[in-house]
Amino acid sequence: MNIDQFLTHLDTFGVDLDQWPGPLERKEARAFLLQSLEARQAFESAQKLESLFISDAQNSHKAPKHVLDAINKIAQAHANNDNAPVHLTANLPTSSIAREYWPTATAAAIPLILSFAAGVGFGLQPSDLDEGSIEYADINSWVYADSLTESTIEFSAFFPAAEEGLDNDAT
Amino acid sequence: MLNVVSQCADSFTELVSRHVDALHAYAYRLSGNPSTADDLVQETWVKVWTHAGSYKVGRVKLSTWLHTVLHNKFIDHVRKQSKFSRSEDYSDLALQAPASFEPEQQSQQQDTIDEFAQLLAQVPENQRAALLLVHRQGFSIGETAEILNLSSTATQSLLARGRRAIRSADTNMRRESHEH
Repeated sequence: MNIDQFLTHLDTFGVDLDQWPGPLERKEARAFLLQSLEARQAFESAQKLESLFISDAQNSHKAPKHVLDAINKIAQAHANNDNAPVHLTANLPTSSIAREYWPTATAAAIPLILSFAAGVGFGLQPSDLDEGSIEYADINSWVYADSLTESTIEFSAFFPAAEEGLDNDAT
Repeated sequence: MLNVVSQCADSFTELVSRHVDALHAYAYRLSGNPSTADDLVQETWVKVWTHAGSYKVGRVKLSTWLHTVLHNKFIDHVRKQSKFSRSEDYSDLALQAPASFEPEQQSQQQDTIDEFAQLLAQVPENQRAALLLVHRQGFSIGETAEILNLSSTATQSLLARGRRAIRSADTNMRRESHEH
């Protein structure tokens, strides 16, 4: 047995030499352990690591009370109202990602929703425009012009009612 | 478990109290983050409550099934993390020595626990899962294979790579401490 074979067996079958396959290999491994310092060091390290896992398992780990309470609420909520559908999402914890990203996502969504609503509100649909009366270029120039006076079309072209209202006020 | 399938809240509470600590310990060491562990455990129990019927009595042990559900939640979590290009900060893994120990014993124990946490942090997630399931949670290779949804051979190989990785991490840590 050489060091590579020994380490491969150590990693595959663990520190309990009795669990290694074949009586001959077990015997060779024991003999190799006595003669190789590197093998002994690796074996001791593996033994220490295994005992770390075992001692960690023996430490009594308790789930936090708030976790336990949240879980039990799920069942209790359902038990108190058998006929109602269970809205489990109400009890779902907000994941750390969701907690972190929802304000950004909301902030990004608001201008989109407002723009969409404004578009619908103004009714700027191609079908709404009489052919030849107002070109899209005019609309764009009105929307994007630095000054409303530079616009090639009048605001009243879209909102005759507003013009009328102004006239009425004047009279 | 059959009572949980028929949505009996008391049976569910009893089931939770029997298994929640082990599941939380696994989630905590696997994720390295207390709040992620809380989320994973809660999501696991929500899934158990809503999908209790998918547990086939006698096919696998209940604890194996619970760990499978949790592990799948962990995979979802890791995928979400990589989508947002954020890696888990394993330095949050501040495990505590039991308060029942004497102060000196507790400090010694705390050093061991810190060392354990540091070593675990250096092992890739899938290997860490295999190591924890076999050496900490006490599952057999077959049960670990079931939880990780791998063949027994693949699980053996994963475990061997995990043992090698944690052993090299230990060797490196010892070498560094000798140098300083």
